[in-house]
Amino acid sequence: MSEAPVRTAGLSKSFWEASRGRIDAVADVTFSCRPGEIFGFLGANGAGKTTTLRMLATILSPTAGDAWIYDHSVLREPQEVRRCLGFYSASTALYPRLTAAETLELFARINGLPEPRVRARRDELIARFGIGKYADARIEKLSTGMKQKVSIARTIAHDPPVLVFDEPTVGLDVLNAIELQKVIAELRSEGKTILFSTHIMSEAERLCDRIAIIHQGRIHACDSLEGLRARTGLHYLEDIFVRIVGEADALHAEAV
Amino acid sequence: MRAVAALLATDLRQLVRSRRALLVGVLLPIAVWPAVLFISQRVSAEQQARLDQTVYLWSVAGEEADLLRRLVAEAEAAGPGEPDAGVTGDGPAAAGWPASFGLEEVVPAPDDFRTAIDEETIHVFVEALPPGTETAAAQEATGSASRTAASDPDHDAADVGTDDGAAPSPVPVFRAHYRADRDLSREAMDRLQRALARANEMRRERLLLARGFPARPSEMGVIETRDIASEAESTGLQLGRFISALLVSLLLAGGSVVASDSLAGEKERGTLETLLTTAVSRVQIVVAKQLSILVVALAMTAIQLAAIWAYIGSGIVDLPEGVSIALTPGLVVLLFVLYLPVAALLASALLLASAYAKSYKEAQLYFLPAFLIGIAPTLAPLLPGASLRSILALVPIANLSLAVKDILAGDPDPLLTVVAWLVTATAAAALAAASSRMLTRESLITTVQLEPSGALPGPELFRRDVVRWVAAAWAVILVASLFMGTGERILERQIGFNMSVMFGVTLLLLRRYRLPARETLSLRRPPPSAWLAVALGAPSALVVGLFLVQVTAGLMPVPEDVIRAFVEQMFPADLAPWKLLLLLVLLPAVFEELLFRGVLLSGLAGQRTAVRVLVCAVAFALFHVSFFRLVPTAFLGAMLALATLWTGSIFPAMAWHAANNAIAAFVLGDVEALPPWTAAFALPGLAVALYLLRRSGGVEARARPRHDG
Repeated sequence: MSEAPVRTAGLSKSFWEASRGRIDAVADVTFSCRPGEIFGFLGANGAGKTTTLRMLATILSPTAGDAWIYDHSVLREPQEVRRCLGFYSASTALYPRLTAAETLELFARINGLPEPRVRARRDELIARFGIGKYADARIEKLSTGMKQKVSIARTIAHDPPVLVFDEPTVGLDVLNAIELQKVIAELRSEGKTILFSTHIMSEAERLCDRIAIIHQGRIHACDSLEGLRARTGLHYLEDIFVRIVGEADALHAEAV
Repeated sequence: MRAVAALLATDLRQLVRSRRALLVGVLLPIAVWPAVLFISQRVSAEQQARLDQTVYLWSVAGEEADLLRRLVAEAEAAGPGEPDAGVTGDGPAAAGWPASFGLEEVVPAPDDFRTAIDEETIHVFVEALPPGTETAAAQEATGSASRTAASDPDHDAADVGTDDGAAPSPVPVFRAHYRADRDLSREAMDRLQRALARANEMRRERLLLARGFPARPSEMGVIETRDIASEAESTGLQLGRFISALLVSLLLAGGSVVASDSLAGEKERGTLETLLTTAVSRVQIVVAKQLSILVVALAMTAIQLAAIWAYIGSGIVDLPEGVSIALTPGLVVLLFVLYLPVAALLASALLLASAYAKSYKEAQLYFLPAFLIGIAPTLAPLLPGASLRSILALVPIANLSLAVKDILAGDPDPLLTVVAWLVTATAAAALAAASSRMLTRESLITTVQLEPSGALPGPELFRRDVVRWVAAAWAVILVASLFMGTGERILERQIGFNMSVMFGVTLLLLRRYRLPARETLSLRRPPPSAWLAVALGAPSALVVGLFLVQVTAGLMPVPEDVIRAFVEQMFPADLAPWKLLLLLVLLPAVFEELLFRGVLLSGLAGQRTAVRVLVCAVAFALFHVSFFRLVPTAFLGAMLALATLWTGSIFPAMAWHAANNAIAAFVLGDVEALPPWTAAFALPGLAVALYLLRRSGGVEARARPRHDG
């Protein structure tokens, strides 16, 4: 079929809450990514970014539609999908009583890396991220910055071609946030396809090749920064965002 | 499998590195055990010593006081007596009389004996009343109980305690007052009674001897008792009764050390989400978690048992009197194999609780109920009537507890032991599967505020859950039937309870899954030919069913008295006919149909007809708990299911069920009465009835559902 590493068609997710009834968190999201690009999801809190990415990571299952990672369907082949994917989120934690080295070994192993390569890969990652000094310290004893490095390392432990970062800089101080962005840019230059969600405009501007603006569960724009500028006639991403979201709200009000 | 091993290693590594878990889970119990055992031993020893040493103070007032004093003095003077009735050996009656009764009279008698007993200046107070006093058969117990003791030195018969009702007593009455809630008072009462009995015995002997009769049975013949149960068998039985409860407690305690962290803790920390994004499948995660709980539970149990063994072996703690443990290595291995599914089941249950809880603390809340639910079936060996050769063979944990008791008591049943093992192992697997499904219910994976659900409550979910609900109702009814016991109005209570449970479940399911009542319960008007079919089919099926009972009785004989007891319980002779009609005919016909041929049958829609009928029939049979009725009840259940499916209405089934029960209750007195040839006549009748039903042209009540995705 197609060559797109990530592809969705009509992806939707509805929740049922006793008090509010049916909530459509994600409605009819369709997009695809090109290999080696950083694809950004930009939206306010509750817009549906996290839900969409969780569906791609097979943590949640879609109510309708489907998504494919290298032509593996999240509905039918979730395990294969996860093998091709590395998922990083502020809420994905590490095992506190394992050492950094043990953590990397564990995740390399359970993600399917062949046993002979596990140790080598672990050492590779330790070297790359400079974790050597505290490789044998327990995670619970590490600082936030060190934990973050270990977290990123474990995300790519099995060298997946597709990476998903869900609001990764939430709660990080400026220095650590910049560090993280540097790593993501490095990964892109290695040819990985990266999906990246954020509500911070500057991040999206700096990192993303293409940006999808999500509002109330739907994608209202999906283009490179230049394309968005052309469409709206505005320069700053913040203004572009407000304009597009405003248009969407107006449409919604009319329809209702 | 590499992934499972890696996850298991991770969990164990984390546990071992957690100082607190090790301290609380391993070291504390090991240190606490000897203290607990030691203290309980000391307490009971001290209590016994206290009772033995005490002098018991008594007082007497009344006309016949001197008589009583003489009797007590005679008893004390008699000294240690030869054992009762010339009995020797190791039975209980060979104990004999003690050296002293320890009774000391307090003179003068207090005016207010109630206060005196309260303050323990005396322990027992006796009113020695003359002949002619009215003795009451029942007197109100008001803090101090009253007993009547009648004693007569001149007559042969000497009873302690009479049932004369409110008649005047021809002999002196000794009315003794004591307090049952005080140890000393109780013991004093007991001693006084025994002293009087001893005095009576002596007087009787003298009387008989004076008239030339042999006074002691030992002069006529000697009884020697020999306990043929070997010591191993007796103590084996005792051990077998308690060992399951002990082991389950240890397993649960050990498993819970790691279980709450297992899924609930991971959820709370966010590491579960990390795990779920890896290439490991949900099933692998659950298997690894279950193994870690199982391994830890077994290890902890082994450590605790080793500690207890060491304490007993080194003499720090003594076993309770009369218990000796003869465990060969082979027996230990056998016990390990037998308890493995129990451990697995407990691990699954703990895992399920952990999967369900949203946080570590919530998971810990569930452990007390899990503990109680886990311990309850291990009490089966303590119930007097409970035996492995009954429906209990199908109850997990209870069945293995009974099997182990039988093995230790020297009376094993290999076939049923294997059945018990398989049942428990299956239950463990089923719970583990449920945990796996829990992981895909996304509300439980994340601690996100929203409550997502894959499917909205409705017919689809209903079909998935219906068997489980029926199984839960079955479990409730079964457990209740065990504890309901016997006695008056047992039939009313049992039927009332069962019908309530069934109807309750029916309503609950209708409401919870928003099912249309009319369609789900097939509340439609049946085609007219259906009634003819019922009129023909009900008696025919009943006869065929009875024939089936005889056939299965040939394969699996049921003792006569079991059948008789069953018949007596089901059709009690003294019950009014209208009550019998209500309890045995109308109520079951309505409520059992609603549950089985209504809810359950609808819930099985989408399966082949044969499967639906079979499952419905088996469930129906299992609800009627007696083993030997399994086959005919299943047969009836199958007929009723077919009737409902083919006519599209539940009412013919209700009528058939009612007719069946009515005929059984009122026409047939004895289950085994019919000769085999009647079945030959009934078969054609049944065939015609079934034909009529098939051709009745009723609405095909359940169309095959559309499959969407």
